[in-house]
Amino acid sequence: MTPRARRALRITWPLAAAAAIAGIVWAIVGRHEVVAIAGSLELLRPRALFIAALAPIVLGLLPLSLVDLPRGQQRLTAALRALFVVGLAISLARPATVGERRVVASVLLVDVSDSISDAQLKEAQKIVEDARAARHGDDILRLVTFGRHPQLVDLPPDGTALPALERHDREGSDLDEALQLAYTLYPPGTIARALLVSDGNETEGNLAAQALAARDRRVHVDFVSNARAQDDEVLVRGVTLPADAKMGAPFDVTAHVYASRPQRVTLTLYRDEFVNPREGKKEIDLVAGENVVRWKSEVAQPGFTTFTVKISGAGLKDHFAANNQAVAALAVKGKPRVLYVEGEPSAASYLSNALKKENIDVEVRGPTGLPGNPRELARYDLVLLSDVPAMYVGPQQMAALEAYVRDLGGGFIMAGGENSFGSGGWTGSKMEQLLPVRFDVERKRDQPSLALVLTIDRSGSMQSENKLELAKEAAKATAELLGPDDLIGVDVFDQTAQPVVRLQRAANRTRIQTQIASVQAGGGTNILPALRLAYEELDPVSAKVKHVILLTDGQASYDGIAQLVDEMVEHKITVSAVGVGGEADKTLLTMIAERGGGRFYHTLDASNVPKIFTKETSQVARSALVEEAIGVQVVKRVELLDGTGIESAPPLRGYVTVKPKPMSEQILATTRGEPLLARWRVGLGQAVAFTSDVKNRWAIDWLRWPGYGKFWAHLVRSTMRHTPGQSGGATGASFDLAVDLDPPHAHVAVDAVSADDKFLSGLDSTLQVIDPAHPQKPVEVPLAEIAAGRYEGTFSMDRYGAYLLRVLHRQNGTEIAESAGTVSLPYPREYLALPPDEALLQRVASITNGRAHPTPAQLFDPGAEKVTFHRELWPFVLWACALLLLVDVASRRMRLYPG
Amino acid sequence: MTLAGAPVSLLGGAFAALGAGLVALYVLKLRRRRVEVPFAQLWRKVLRDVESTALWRRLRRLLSLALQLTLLALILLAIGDPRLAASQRGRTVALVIDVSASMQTHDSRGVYRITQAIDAARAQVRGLGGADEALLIAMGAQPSPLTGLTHDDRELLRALDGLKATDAPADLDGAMRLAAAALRGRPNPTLVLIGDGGWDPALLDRLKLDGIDLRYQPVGVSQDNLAITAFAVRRYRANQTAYEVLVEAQRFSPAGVTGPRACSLELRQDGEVVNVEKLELQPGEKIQRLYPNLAGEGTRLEAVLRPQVPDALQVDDHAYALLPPRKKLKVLLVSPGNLFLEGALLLDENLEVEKTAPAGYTPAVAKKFDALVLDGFVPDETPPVSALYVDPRGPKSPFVVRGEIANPIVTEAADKHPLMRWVTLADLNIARASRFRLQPGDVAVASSLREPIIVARDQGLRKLVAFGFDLRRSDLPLRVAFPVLVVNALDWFAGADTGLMASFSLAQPWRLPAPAAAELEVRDPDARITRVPVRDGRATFVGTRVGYYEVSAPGGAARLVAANLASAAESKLTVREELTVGGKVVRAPEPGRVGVKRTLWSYLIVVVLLLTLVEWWTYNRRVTV
Repeated sequence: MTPRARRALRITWPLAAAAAIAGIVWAIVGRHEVVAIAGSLELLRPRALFIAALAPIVLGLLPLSLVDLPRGQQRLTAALRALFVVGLAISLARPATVGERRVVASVLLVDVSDSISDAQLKEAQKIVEDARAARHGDDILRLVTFGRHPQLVDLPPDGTALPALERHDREGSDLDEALQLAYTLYPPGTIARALLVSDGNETEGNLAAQALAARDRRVHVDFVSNARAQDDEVLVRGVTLPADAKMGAPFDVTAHVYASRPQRVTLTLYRDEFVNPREGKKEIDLVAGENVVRWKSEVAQPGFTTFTVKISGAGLKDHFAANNQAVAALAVKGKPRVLYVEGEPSAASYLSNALKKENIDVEVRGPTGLPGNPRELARYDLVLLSDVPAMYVGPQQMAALEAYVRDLGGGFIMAGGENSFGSGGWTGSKMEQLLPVRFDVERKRDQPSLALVLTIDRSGSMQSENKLELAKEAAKATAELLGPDDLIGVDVFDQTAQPVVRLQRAANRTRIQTQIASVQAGGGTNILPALRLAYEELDPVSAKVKHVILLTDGQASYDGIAQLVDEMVEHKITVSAVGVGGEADKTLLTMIAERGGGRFYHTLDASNVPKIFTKETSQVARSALVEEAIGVQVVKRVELLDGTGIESAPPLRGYVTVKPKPMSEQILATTRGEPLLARWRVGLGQAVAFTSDVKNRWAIDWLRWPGYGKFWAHLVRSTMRHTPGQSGGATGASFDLAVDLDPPHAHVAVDAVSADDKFLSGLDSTLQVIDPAHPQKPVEVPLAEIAAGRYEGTFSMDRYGAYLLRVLHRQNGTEIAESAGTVSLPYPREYLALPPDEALLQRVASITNGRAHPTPAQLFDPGAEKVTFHRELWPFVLWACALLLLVDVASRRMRLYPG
Repeated sequence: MTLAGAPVSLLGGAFAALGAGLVALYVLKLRRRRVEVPFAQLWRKVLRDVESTALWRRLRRLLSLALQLTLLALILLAIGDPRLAASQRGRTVALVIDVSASMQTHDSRGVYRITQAIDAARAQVRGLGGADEALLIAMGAQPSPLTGLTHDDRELLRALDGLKATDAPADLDGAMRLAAAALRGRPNPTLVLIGDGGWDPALLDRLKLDGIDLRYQPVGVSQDNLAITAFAVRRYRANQTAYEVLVEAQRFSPAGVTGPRACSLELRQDGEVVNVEKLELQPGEKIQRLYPNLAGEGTRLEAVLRPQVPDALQVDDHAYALLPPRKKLKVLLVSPGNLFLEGALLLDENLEVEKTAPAGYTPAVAKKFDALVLDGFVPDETPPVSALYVDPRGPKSPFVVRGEIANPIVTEAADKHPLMRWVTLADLNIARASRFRLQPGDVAVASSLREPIIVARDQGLRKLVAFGFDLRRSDLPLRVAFPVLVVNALDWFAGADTGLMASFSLAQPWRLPAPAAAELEVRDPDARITRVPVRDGRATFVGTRVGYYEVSAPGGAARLVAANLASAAESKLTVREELTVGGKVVRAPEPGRVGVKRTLWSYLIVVVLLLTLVEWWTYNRRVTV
């Protein structure tokens, strides 16, 4: 080898060796942060091994050495120095063995929220002190206090007293977050323990879910549950309002009040800002525990109303003032809409005004105004048909009305009048099927209710005592008495019978009067032809009641009369008989009346004849219309009658006779025991029959009665369609809205289900959260459809109090439905004065293998648990290096090889 | 400065002993090498020169000794592990790393966002100043601290090593609150948020920072993504054997992306494809598909979105749902004969009704049924299954009767109770009714002037309902409400909910119903098994992966639940390059001021190393000895 090559080799070999070492280190270490060498030996900073590459360079300097030592000793010195460098490199690479140890780090989580009393806080302080005293060795103790947020409290050095625990974030308890913070406080290589000192009432977070995470982290969570709070406390847990209150309708406001011990308090209900007008302040002796207090209230305006219940009282034994009031909000739908179809529109103002006063929107239409399709009807919550004759309502309109009630759940009331029910020609119609009463058995339309034939004896004897004149007067009065559509005929008879007034509508009063006046006396008495004539006249007529009144003062042949009368009865013609004077054949007349299904009257004084006729006529007419003062009887006490004072209602002056159907519900009856108010359900809706009228004919005394408006308003409200939110707009249905409170968030879910139970998908639903304090600035939250017909969204409540919720559902841009609801969070849940939730704490302890009420020593009990940790070996390496340094120096300072 | 390692006494002793050794070695005169020279005179001059420099030579030896003693002192000091006291100048840094589903997105090079986030976090850790302390928080559905506050960057780096993105949405609020709690009261608190910014902007606005210096490090690039945002099965109300399935797919595109994107939407039932539909979605377009009138029981439904060009995020291309079995409820009617009840029970085809006379009733028989209807009959022992008591009286009744009311009217009703769904009891006629005494947990379903006459009791495993009156002495059976009420009661017993079988969302803890078990075993899609205790008939569980979970009670049959991401915020892969909180743009994090680490020994060793090398050179060049 040439000297040049030798020199080159001398320079290159240390570099090559350094590169080789670096290569080997790279091969072992690569990009790893930690390298396991062998067994439990690891290098925690393996890249420091690259420093070992300096060792060959140390050796490489040897040829340049001027040191005056033997070559062998020089090499030894260089080797020792290289070893020293390698040692330093190794120490920097942080060799460590994985060891096991049982150091416990215990984090005390102490609830300092407001639900913890001062006494309980002192107990907690004692627990912390005990834990400090029980800590020994390397064990670590940390203290976290928490309310709504946790906070690390630095513990003073041992031997120094612990300062009193301070409250913070006191309006809530988030045990979940406190435990999360604890995780950050465990140094690596310690056994993690946590002790929850709390009442377990979490207002935020989800401790149960966090417990699973704690178990994964092997944090054992022990607990000490605070004993039941003993502070005097009185609070309003909540205010409950009906789900759907109607405008103007009274409802209950219920407050749930909790008191820790009996005491007398004043509870005040505020409607919006003002004391509730019906019942405001209440002095209540609260019992210990839960109390329920109710108020009656009502809302006169559509929209939202808030109700606040406040506790006050002198010497109130109370700890927290924040929970002494609670608030709830009520969404009141707009006014119900009623379609009022009145047969006599000029008389419609009585009821429509009364209903309007009771906050019901009324649209009055004439008798022909009933819409012909259900969709148009669906705009109304109720249809009231009053005194409308059937002739104005076509089959299509009736079908629409039926569909409206049966399928759309609409309400239908038929109120009486001479053109209602049977007398309005409704017999046999769809309306009769719809209503809870039967009108009668006759089945023809456009029939008069009564056809009356007066058969008057004009024989010579009738002239005496002015009998004929009186009879004529009676006939005239009868004609007056009858309704205009009733038929009247007047026959006179002697040996033969002649019609004086052909059977005609009683409306032609003048003509009838004139014709009656023309009757002259003369001749004998033969009843048979007279009855036959009356029979012949009445038989072809279709009237509900066909009646003959026979007046005579003499005797006549019996021949054929009985058979004729029987035949007449067979044809539904009844006969009454009136005998005037002592010569009248009572036997014959009684027989006629009895067989004829009528009544027999006998009078000696002919001046009674008009009265008899009148009475007889009204008697006959009564089967359809009753026109006399009748009282009202309550058959069944139902909700709608509450507060109407129906017992004190004045009499009505008439009604239409109907018969109740078997499944119907009779609510009111006349003093004659006939139905006045009856109802039943038809499909989804309700149909009601009110047999008297609503206006100034029969109900004239009711119009002055203060209960008139209330009665009708209640009847309308209880009958009308009961889909909440329906009215007040021309839109369709309303969907159920449910709110799930998870402070500070509220989750809103709406089920869009159509009337036929189909899910409505693809709606564009937006939630409006209205803060009553700033109603103009609603927060809008779009709802997402998470399943067919299910729309959900979440909003957060930035303020304590009540919120009003409205969801508008749009389909292709048009609003198709609306949902409304309210949610209230009157004050932080912290102030609910709930008993400790030991079950939750117990559950967390059981998930995480924790203990209930551990002793101070148990807080640092590692159990069977051991934790691996890295025992760093670099100090040992450095000790070795220190010794090596000495050896290194010795190798230079002593001549080892004799020269 | 404190010493965390060997005690001062030991180090002092060691220094004394080893130092004495060093001094002794230097005091020792190195024995001269004997060299024979041919002519001594020549050397004498040399030796004289040497003697004239003796002072220098002595100094040189002292210098060498001092150098060696310094090396020794430094080593021993390093062994003492000296540490700087915590400095108020350092920062306290909370590194919050988004590990939500959107972090599974990969870019065109196949690099996942989570990897980028971890790299960014590593860079942050490496950039920590010596006085800085830091902790790591993984922001998933539940914020999870990965380390405590530490100066040890190794620990922080180690914690980053195993970090993976979950399938769940991020709980920004929870993570921020936790970070704030951990930073509270610490010097110079800094919160570094690392992620793609796919969070609810409303949440960001509400963040309360309390003096915390918030920094934001965005990762990833904005991508186009197709996702299933809703998938749920719903049982029809009217026909409980049929279902309607809703699938909602949406395309999320960053600004500037145009043109449709093709994909196919598959609906699979138990693995079999039952429907495939080709779709073309415009940027931002959302489509909804409804599959009405599906039937089937206990089957797995899966919706799969297959984009023509593979998606950057796959976890939201699958959604899972189940058609749970609709079991027929076995009902035993114990009655001397009541056509009303029998009629009402006939109405629901999902009931399997048997009748027996009171004499034929034994607890053993009762056990074979899911529910009992006890008409005027009170068994000696409260049955082990749910039961509807009609007019229960006597001391054996689980419902205590306080007295009677004649002709009660229902004045209060718990409208929200499942029993009262579609039921109105207004103007019900009853001849007489028992007034019940409520026990804790009882619900007065219907009351007459605050006296409960229909009561529901939920005992978790068993539910009881009592009607306080004889049906034959009321007009209830004649009302539409009656069969509905009976069926509602039985539905309530069966635990049938609103027919909505929404899959669980990973955003919230789940409450799994488990009426009859003390513990549930949940097997997640990765086949990891978690045991969850049951309280009040429900177990709380937190899912982190989408797919089917098997839930079983010990010894019981497993049932399935499905979990979906269904989060538009996660599927929207637009990276928020700039975060604005409270009207201010959040700045990017800066590395810490360069400073020394609190542990000093390694610096000392580096000094030793350098000194050693220098000394080696000078020694060999005879500058030192």
